[in-house]
Amino acid sequence: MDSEKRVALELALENRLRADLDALAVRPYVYYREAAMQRLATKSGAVGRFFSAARVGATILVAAAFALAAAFAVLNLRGSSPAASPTPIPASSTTPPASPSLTATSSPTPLITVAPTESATVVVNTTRSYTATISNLSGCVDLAFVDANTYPNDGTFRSAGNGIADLSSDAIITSINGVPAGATGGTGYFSCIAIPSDGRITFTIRSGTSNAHVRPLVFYDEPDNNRFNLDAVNRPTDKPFGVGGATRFVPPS
Amino acid sequence: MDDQEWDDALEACYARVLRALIGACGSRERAEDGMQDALVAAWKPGVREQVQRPDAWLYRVALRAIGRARWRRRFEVKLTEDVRHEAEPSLDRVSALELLSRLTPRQREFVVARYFLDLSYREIAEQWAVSVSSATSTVAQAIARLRRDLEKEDEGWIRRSV
Repeated sequence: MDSEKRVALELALENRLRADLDALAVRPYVYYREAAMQRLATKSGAVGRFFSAARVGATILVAAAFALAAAFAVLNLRGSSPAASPTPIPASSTTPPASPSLTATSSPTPLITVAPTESATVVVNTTRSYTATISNLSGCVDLAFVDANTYPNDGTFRSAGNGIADLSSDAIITSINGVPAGATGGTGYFSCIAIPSDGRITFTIRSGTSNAHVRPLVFYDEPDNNRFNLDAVNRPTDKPFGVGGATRFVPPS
Repeated sequence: MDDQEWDDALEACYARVLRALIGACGSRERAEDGMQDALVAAWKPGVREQVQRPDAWLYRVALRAIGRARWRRRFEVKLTEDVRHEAEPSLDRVSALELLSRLTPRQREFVVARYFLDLSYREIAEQWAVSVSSATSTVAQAIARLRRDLEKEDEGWIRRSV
């Protein structure tokens, strides 16, 4: 049965890919060929070689500048915490009575919070709303779920030991900022939701699974691989992130 | 292979490869840029002698070029292309690009190579310099992920699409 389903899905996927991708119009081959030939001609000339070398040189210079800046930043950060402890030490303990304004304020720390943080129980196929507040961050974030039954709530996440957090597919996100989430009625994972100017993303979740117990997870997917990456001790490397309060979906009484 | 034969071989497969690139990277603009880079590479001396499948080679080289440019464009909206099916309203709900958007970039590349370009797992493994088992498991994970999603959303989708 399982292999039958897989074969059916493979066939469906193959048909869908062929139907959709073959329907895309493309420009004639000669358009790309001529563009390629022009670039080849430019590259093979003396002027082209000069510009290629100049571009490589400029790239190396820019990379070196970035490396130097990063090295300075790292050295400065380490210098501000004695013994380079991995645990941040409060500013008050490093320079006791001096002035509070001496606290390192290099750049605002990106932050994601997801409210409400309280647990709640709702009936299956009803929705619960959450609001993610994102500050000091631009671009986009991913929305997902973790299983609230196994969420350690100690800064780590459950993983099969492969450096990726186990995400839950027991619930789906049905709307984002009031807009229904896609023609399919919602999914359990949303990739790259643009951060609005006010930094607030409101979304609703729903589950048709009795006793599903989930917590919404909002995170900055860096590197962009649609996974919530963890380090060797299951602490997230995709930062920042925020986890909302647990929702349990129970059958109607 | 002389210039004309090589040109014919590239022309025969470029459209299919370009569509595969759009599927894999989700952007026509990036796919076209990648295709141009791949064609520039294709006309460099000594390349054609090493190529066994021009479509697989073009696809891989273009994806590599797209990957190099990706860091400049990481905040772009993903998957700008879309296709809608007017004749079959029930299938309108899930387009190929929407399906692919649920996968990781590597899974998208392999799935398109496998199911659209018809590359074997061995050919995928050779092009991406990975083991055959790695290519197989990446595609299997992609299928499993799609299945999980689709079964939850619409159990009838698979049946209707076959």
